Amino acid sequence: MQRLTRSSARQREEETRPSLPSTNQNSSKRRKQSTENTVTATGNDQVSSDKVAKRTPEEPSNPTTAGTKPSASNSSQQPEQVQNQESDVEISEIPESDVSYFGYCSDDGGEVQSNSKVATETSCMDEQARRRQQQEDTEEVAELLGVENSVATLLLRSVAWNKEDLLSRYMEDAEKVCAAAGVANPAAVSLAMLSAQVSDRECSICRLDGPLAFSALSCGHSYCDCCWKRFLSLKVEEGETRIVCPEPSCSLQVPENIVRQLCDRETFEKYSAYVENAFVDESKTCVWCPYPNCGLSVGTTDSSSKFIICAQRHSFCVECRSEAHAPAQCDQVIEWLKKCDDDSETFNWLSANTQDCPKCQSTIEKNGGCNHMTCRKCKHEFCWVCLGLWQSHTDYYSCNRFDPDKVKASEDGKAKSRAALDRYLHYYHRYMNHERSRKLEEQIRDKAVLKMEELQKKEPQRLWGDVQFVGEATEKLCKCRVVLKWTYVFAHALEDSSSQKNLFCFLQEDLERNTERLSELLESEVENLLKAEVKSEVLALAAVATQSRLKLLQGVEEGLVA
Amino acid sequence: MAGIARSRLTQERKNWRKDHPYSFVAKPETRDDGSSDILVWQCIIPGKKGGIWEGGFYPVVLKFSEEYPEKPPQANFPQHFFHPNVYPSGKICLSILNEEKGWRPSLSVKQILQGIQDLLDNPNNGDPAQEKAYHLLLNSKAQYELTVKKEGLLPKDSWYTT
Repeated sequence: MQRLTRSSARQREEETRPSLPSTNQNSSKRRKQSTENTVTATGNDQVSSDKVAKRTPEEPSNPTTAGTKPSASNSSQQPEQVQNQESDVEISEIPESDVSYFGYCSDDGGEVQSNSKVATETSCMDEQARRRQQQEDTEEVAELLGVENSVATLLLRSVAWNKEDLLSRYMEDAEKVCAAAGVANPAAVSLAMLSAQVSDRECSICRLDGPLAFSALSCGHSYCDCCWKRFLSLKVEEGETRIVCPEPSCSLQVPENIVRQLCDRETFEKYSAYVENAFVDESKTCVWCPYPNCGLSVGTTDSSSKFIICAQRHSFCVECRSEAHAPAQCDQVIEWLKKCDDDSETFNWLSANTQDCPKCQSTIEKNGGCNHMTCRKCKHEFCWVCLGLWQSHTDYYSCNRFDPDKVKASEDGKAKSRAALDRYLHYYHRYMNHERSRKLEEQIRDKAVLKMEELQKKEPQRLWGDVQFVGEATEKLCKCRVVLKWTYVFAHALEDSSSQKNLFCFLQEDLERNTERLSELLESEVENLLKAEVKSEVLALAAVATQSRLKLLQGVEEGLVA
Repeated sequence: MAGIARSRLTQERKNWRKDHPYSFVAKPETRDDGSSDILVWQCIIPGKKGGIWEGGFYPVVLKFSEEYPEKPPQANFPQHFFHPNVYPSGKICLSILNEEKGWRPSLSVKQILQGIQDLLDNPNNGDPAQEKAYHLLLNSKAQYELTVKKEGLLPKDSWYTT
């Protein structure tokens, strides 16, 4: 039953994968045929593949998986198969939106064709799909290896949830895999817990004499149930998800079902939540969304790009865990954010505009024309020009201690840091400006969408599509804004007046112009937006801006060669 | 959850009195008013026969928390005890005393003390806790052994009477 449900899930997965490269086509056909043998009622519930723009070829399923998935239930009884058909239909009725997470959604809805890797952000496996996959993997391993689910979980966790890897290693050397995972050797695994025995002997934890109820893992190290419970509860309280047998130098891990048997419900729920989270921490196919308070996990294997989107539509970079930052590179982003964060630029400003008091080193900004400075802090009087003692100046308004070389050197230094500051500020202001614009546009969009919905209620004859385009166009606008924002970080890192920079500025200008036009139009009154000609203009501009965005990203990816 | 530290330690004490390894001492600290503190144990570990620590008697204080035996006790030699795996404060760095590593609730006081005795002869230079003994052991074994004899090997009486 479980198995067939799984194979139907596999079939569903295959159907959501329309454009496999030719090398994989054959094997996938073959697989499909084999699954058709077991599941029959799938002909009419094909998942719409429109939503699925493209998909990277999945690595062929592990030979051991295929090999050890025998036809055991092929020969199973008829009634079960009828049941399976039912369950299959049930599964295929999962809402499409849900299924699409499994698939590979191009963010641009397939509207703009682009081969650019950086251009597309991909939304991948969401929470539900992750749990489902976790469950499926566990059950599959449990069945293939003939172990309990909780033992399968331990095995999977020992190899970072790489099912294929686990199975092939297991076939090679089961003993070794089991030892590494902290589970008893395969023959004994199903007897994970000896049934509680009441005994008179002393428990080696509390050192109390019996009669006590004793329990043990399959290693046979038994402790009284009170001690087990206290031990497990404390470990769970500490957030430990790999609890080992209390016996010194025994490395057997406590499976989930033991925690359920011996601890209260609350503790067990806590524990299983930790274990569930551990999947994301340990698995190489999942990451946590880094947005504050998001807490969603996102699968990464379906993505060809390093920018992915969680179910809350937060897009981020898998590598540096900051906002999706195309066209800027991760290292540029890290450096930029650090630059914005720390005081290095403040320091530039200070050195361009201030001097330190020669006595107490307080930073002083000149607030008048007179060069006779008096430090507010230490009352030291000095000359702004030569920083010498004011008393040594005989003529009040001209500094006769003028050392041209010294002054020139310091002026040069000042000019340099002033220029660097100006350059930085140029990019920083534009960067911040696009960020601010995006936030405002999001607000405007929300307002517009609300108003549109109201209008639609008043005039129900209006189709949803007539008003929906505003939201979609703003979505596109925001994407352009984010890219524009990061173009300034990228440009800051580019060498001035190089040919690459020229080309880049050209692409940037193009995107900026189209973005601004779209933005202006979208800011107009809702009534205006409802006009048919305005709608088509919005749509056209949104497409043009998106085009510019992709052109820029592609240009950067190709190395900015004209 | 009510701790079992005290009852377990009472039991440990009982078992120790019944049977303990030769020349080891382990007993709860006696307070000034004559009562005893079951959570602090004064112990003495003899150097192992045949090793460079043979002939010496080394005092160790075991401090248990209310969370014992789920959590390990802290074991201390006197301050500045000469051994690569003993911090200048005297704290002993040993895997079975580390909750994250080898500590298990079923380890007895006897096993702990024997573990420490073992550590004396088998220092773990991969996990140094003090500079002096670490460098000597690394660079000059002879010098190291000499220092053990000189600094470590003190007559039983010079620590405290049992």
